Amino acid sequence: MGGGADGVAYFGNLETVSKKAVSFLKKQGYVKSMINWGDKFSLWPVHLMTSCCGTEFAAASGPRFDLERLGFLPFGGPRQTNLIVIEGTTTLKMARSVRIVWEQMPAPKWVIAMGACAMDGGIFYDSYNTVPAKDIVPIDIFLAGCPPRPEALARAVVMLQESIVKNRPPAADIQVTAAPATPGPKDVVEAVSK
Amino acid sequence: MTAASRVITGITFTTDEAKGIFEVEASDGAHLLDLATRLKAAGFDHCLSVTAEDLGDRLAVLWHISSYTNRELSGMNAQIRLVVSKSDNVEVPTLTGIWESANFLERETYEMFGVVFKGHPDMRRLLLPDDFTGKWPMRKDFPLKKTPWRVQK
Amino acid sequence: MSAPQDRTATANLTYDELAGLKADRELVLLIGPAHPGSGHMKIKVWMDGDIIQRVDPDIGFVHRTTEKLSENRLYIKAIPIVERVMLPDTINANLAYVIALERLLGIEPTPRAQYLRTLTSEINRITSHLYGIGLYGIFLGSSTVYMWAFADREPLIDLIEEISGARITYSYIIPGGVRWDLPAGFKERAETVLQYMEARLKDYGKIWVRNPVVMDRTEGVGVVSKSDAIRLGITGPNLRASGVDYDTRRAKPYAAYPNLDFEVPTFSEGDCYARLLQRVEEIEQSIRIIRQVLKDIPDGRIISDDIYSKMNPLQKRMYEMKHRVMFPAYMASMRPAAGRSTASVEAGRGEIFFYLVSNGDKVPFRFRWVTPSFLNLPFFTHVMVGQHLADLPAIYGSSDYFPPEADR
Ligand code: SF4
Repeated sequence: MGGGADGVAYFGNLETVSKKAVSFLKKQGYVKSMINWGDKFSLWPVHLMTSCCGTEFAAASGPRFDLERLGFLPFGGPRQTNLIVIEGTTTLKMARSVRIVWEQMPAPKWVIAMGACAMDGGIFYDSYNTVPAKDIVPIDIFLAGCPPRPEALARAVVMLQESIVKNRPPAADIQVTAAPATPGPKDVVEAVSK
Repeated sequence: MTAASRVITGITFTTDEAKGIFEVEASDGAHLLDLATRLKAAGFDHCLSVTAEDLGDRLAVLWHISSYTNRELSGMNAQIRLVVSKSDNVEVPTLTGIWESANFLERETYEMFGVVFKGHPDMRRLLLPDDFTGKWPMRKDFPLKKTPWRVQK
Repeated sequence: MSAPQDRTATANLTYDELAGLKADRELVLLIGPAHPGSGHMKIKVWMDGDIIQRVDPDIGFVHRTTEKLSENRLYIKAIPIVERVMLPDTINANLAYVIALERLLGIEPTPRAQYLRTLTSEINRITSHLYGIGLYGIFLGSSTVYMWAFADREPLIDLIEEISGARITYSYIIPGGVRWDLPAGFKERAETVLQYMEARLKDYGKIWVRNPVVMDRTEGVGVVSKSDAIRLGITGPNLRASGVDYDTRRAKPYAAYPNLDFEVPTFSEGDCYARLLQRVEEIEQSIRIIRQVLKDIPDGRIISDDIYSKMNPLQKRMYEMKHRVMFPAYMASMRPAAGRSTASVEAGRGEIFFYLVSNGDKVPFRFRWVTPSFLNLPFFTHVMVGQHLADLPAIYGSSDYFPPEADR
């Protein structure tokens, strides 16, 4: 038996009751903050190396900077992860994989755009084979540098944790729209949405 | 440029040692194959790079070769050059039969310059996506996405 | 059914078609690009049972068109671009490009600059090999070695950071010389690091290199014979592990290598284990070279007179005070005379080859470079064939293939 806020009482259907109860509880501050606390220390980035910033990502997971102390544990399968660190340039080919991986991840999920390339093209901004990461997936944290030092990556993770604790929702999904027509290559939308 | 030259097994290379250039020019496809066979027999056993240059109305296809085993030749980055007239799909003979290491390099040159290597076992795209529509990105008439805003020619 | 006889028959199929490919026992496996082992590339593997029949590396996930970009930038601005491609090994990429450019310009660097180039290049070679060894640990499922190698990379990175001011992307070498001189007390600190590294190599021997599990997984796996290595154009440590006595540092001498005494280790087995040992041995040789460089380094300017004379008085004063080179305006406006040049440099993973053409403009007319990982691609197409699928990571990791470097 359970009671809803709208004054309706439910009898018998345990499933509906429990679902209602869960959604009710989730809205309560104390439960929500507990969930956030859990999310905060289990930011598992998927192992998706997109470019050369990956070396600093590897160094950051290494012993000197040890991001595992922040609950940051690179993991293989996208289904078990909730964070993508886009490590630099995304090419047309890689953009598809990034989008697919992002779609495979369960919500809530966050994205850190690491490096100047992921922010807006960086040193390769005028290449005919690159796509800015912000046109592929919604981005929560932009992290500048080329490559950013591992400390900077740690800072980005801490900032993401803060925003989780403050109960900010992950960035909303973007419409993968047509990029400005480029001579030669097909538009990004076709490359990405495939 | 200096007009120095060096002769290796009867093949005359135009050289510019200070710049590391040792060049022999092939006049056509048959000559190219003949040259390559002789150079391979002379000890050039490694193909370092295959590429092309866009000369406007012509394309120069270049094979850079070197040697792993012959100490005398291993100091050289020799190059064989074949100039062909430019069209959408330029055809030149492949040298993969002679230097197998040219395999991926020739595929890259095909993708970037539209040079079709006749007889290559696997002439496909390599680096760009399969549905990339632009033609021959490394040719001079292929534009970049945006023009650089600080650096102008 | 065995491997498709007609290699091109399946080559043009899309992934969906491949996945639906009906064959009796043949299985097509797609590995990557989101895979802890493969990183930025996709490998299509055709298998019969668990024996690999054919491998098609699908590269280009990190193809950033550096050649095209460099042909549209000033000469000096190609330095960061080539560095970004070879991130674990930036000094060598930088050096190769600058040597090709110097040959175009007709500048000679000073002897001290030559030694500094050699010094940084060797430190970078060690960090690059440690990077490779660490990742090989991941490939074989040993995160201990990954942790060790990445921890031991750090003192060396600190060392080079002291000289150049950056962790990974140094842009240290410029036409005519280098940008910074050695800081005070560098030699002593370097010696400490080298001694530490030597002690650690012994530990690596105990826990990793002579570990029976590692030996079981790598010995006799992925054998490349000497003739195959030459035929396929394998390069770098992988080539030497197959018994070919070729090293660009000796064959096409550059920087200060002609004056230094070092050995080129080789192994005859050509298997994954030999490639692992090869890297460890090369680290030892690099340590030896660094010691010699620190002992023999001559005094003098770090920038050639050609460039020094083009500095303005403020820059000259800065140079005398701090031994630091500020870019004269010439760097942004250099126009090498029309001509061509080539350069070869031994990087951590093999030979980098540069071919530059100038037509007297501010930007290169043709900028061609081939990176060692690209030449090592036959590891996929040839060496893996006939091996078990479980050995794929062992072979992949042993080749020390770095996808961004191959794709350029
Ligand atoms: S930001 Fe710099 S280091 Fe990172 S991917 Fe881009 S070029 Fe590479």
